[in-house]
Amino acid sequence: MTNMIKKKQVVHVDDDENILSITRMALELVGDFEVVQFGSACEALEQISDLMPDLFLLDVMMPEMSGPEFLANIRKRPEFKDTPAVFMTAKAESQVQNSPDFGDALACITKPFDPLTLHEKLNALLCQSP
Amino acid sequence: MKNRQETLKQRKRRHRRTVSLIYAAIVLLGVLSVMLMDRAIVAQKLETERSAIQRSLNTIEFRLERLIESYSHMSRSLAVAQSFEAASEFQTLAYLLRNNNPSVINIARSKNFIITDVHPTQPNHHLLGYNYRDHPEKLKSVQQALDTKETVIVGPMELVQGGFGLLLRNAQPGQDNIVGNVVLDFERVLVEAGMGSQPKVFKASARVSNDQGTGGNVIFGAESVWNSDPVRANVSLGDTVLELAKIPAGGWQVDKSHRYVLVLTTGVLALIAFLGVNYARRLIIERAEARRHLLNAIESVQDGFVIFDRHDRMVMCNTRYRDYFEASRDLIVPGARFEDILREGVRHGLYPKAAGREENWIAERLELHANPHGQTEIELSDGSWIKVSESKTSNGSTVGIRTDITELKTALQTAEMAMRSKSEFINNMNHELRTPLSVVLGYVAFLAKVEIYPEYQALKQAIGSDVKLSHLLDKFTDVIVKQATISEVSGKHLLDLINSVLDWAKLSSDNVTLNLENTELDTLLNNLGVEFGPVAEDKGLRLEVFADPVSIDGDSLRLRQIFMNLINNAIKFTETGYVRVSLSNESGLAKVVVEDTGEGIPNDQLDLIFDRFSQVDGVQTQRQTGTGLGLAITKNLVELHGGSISVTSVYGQGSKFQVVFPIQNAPV
Repeated sequence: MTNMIKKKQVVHVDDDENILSITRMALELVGDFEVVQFGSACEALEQISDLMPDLFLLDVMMPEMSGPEFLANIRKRPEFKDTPAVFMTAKAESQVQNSPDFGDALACITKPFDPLTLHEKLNALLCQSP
Repeated sequence: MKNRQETLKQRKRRHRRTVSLIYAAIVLLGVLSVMLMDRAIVAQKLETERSAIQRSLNTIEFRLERLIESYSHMSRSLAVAQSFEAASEFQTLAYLLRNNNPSVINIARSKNFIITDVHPTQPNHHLLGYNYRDHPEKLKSVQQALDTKETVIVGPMELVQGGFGLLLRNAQPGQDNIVGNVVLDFERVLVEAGMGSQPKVFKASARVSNDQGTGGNVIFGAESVWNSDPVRANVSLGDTVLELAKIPAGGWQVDKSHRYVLVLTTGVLALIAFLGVNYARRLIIERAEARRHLLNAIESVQDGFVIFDRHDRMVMCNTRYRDYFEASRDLIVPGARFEDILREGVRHGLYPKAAGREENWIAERLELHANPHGQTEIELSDGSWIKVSESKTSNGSTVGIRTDITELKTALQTAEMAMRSKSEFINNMNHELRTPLSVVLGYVAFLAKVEIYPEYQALKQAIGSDVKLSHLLDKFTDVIVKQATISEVSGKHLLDLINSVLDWAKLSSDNVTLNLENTELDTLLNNLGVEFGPVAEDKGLRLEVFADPVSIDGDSLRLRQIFMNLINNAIKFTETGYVRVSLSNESGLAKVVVEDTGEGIPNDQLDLIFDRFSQVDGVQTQRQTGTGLGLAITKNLVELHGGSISVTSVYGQGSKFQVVFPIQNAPV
């Protein structure tokens, strides 16, 4: 595997274990991503300093610290200043539109998502981002 | 309240007293004017009568003078004749004179102061030879006649035979000193002059005036005449002055007939004045009554009421108005300026909204007061809310009504809060339902593609080329995949249901706001055509889209939802043929038609199709699953865009849905 092109790394934060599991399967088994997962935003904040992810995939509603708060937090760090971010939420599509909370996130994917096409969506979003 | 009633009673009593006084004054004035006018009329009438009698007396005076003059003329001519006539001739002449003038009592002639002739002879013959020189008092007048050669009037004097006589002497100049004397019956002369005429109407009297002017001998008529304020006239008879007097026979009594007219007229006038006063009184009472009525009504109104005049000074207000603005109560009196009342309220912190920006708030409030339009709601410090309605009257006053809308406001806030919590509930439900569903659909998706699992791959490798085991694994996999696929379809249907129900809940509570933007409807429909093309093809249907370029103002997501629903439905209910979508601009309207060759809708159900939870008969419901909310949501969304949706259908041949939107900015 090492001789292959380096896989894109996704840091995924979600408080739902099952979603973590499904997402890992969707991105690692179906897609070709390397997924690093955290069960809470606080935990992620403590440990991401060693990482250099290509994309943050963040749940919106989480206890203690929400996805948008986490994003605002890491945007203060120079190393993550321009790292693309995508939100995931269980809120309805119409509610998510134009929400000011999302900062410079590329998109907001609504749950339930199709796990078989999730990697395609993320790849497409990464291609669009500058 | 008791106080007011008392003052009301007092006012009524005072009112009655005033009216009684006015009535009394009218009566007094009437009586007074009757008396004064009567006196004036009586005086006038008396004056008229006096002057009439005076005129008649003057006539008598004139005639008397003429008579005396003609008698003296006669006596002079007698004297002239006598001077050369013989005695017998004297008798003849005297007889003629006396016959023609009944007033003449006798005629005599003297010569050298001795009476020589007298007529009639009987009973006067004793006068013959009468020597005036023996009677100096008579000689004097004889001598006077001789000296002056004028008529000398002697008398009137009492006659021996009774009555009064007047003696006229005339001298014939010459040696013989002949003097002619005529004695007149003075009463007869007076009667001849008219003194005794109309004795039933007038009374006349004559007397000789003495030096005191108080009257001397009455020689004609009754003494009483002189005591009855008679009209008078004087006549000179030689050295004596004769006074004449005349009064009405019944005394100075004035005809009183005018009094009836006077009293009647005054009475009628007084009556009119009474009626006028009474009418005015009733008007005043009615006005006061009306005013009191109005004030009572204003006082009884449940709202605060206030009027400011055109200089913005308070005219009146009711108690409730004062109650609302308890803090500035002392200032709320007639004459107070609106601004002062307002400032006092602000000073007491009556208006929480003004806190910290008092001057601005006052300026805004004053501006609104000066140019009132519609209604404003103002919060007071005790938490109550007041609706302020102000308007200008035609004379520039400002009428204001203050309504306590605290309850309404509270209800509104409660309702808003309920609405908010409902929305919140819907959002939360949405989230809570979707989260587990995400897990279900996520795992099921993998189960339907079971070969993804590394564990599956490991198992398959372990079985290797064992045909029997491979076969068993394949069969097992088939079952898993089949059931996972069914689960996935059901899960997606459940997701649709959840989406629709929540959408409907939001739409029905007017909780949806559209993000209006210029949307190219043709692009949107073409994209849907591409998206749903494969779905239609799977069923062996043609999906055709014919779209003219038309743009409308709309929420692109919601517009997409509308036509996705319609196209989805058309494909769902059509087994053979086509689904055709067309868009055209028809005189300012964007018209979208979605038609199919499906089973159609029976006529009796066309009206129900946009109602929620209705689907065309039960058979289809089993075959074609759906929420039953799709068309209701679609209709709602169309109407939110200001458009309309309608359907025509021939049962068994197909349906045709038509959506029409107004085009705000018609394309150039």
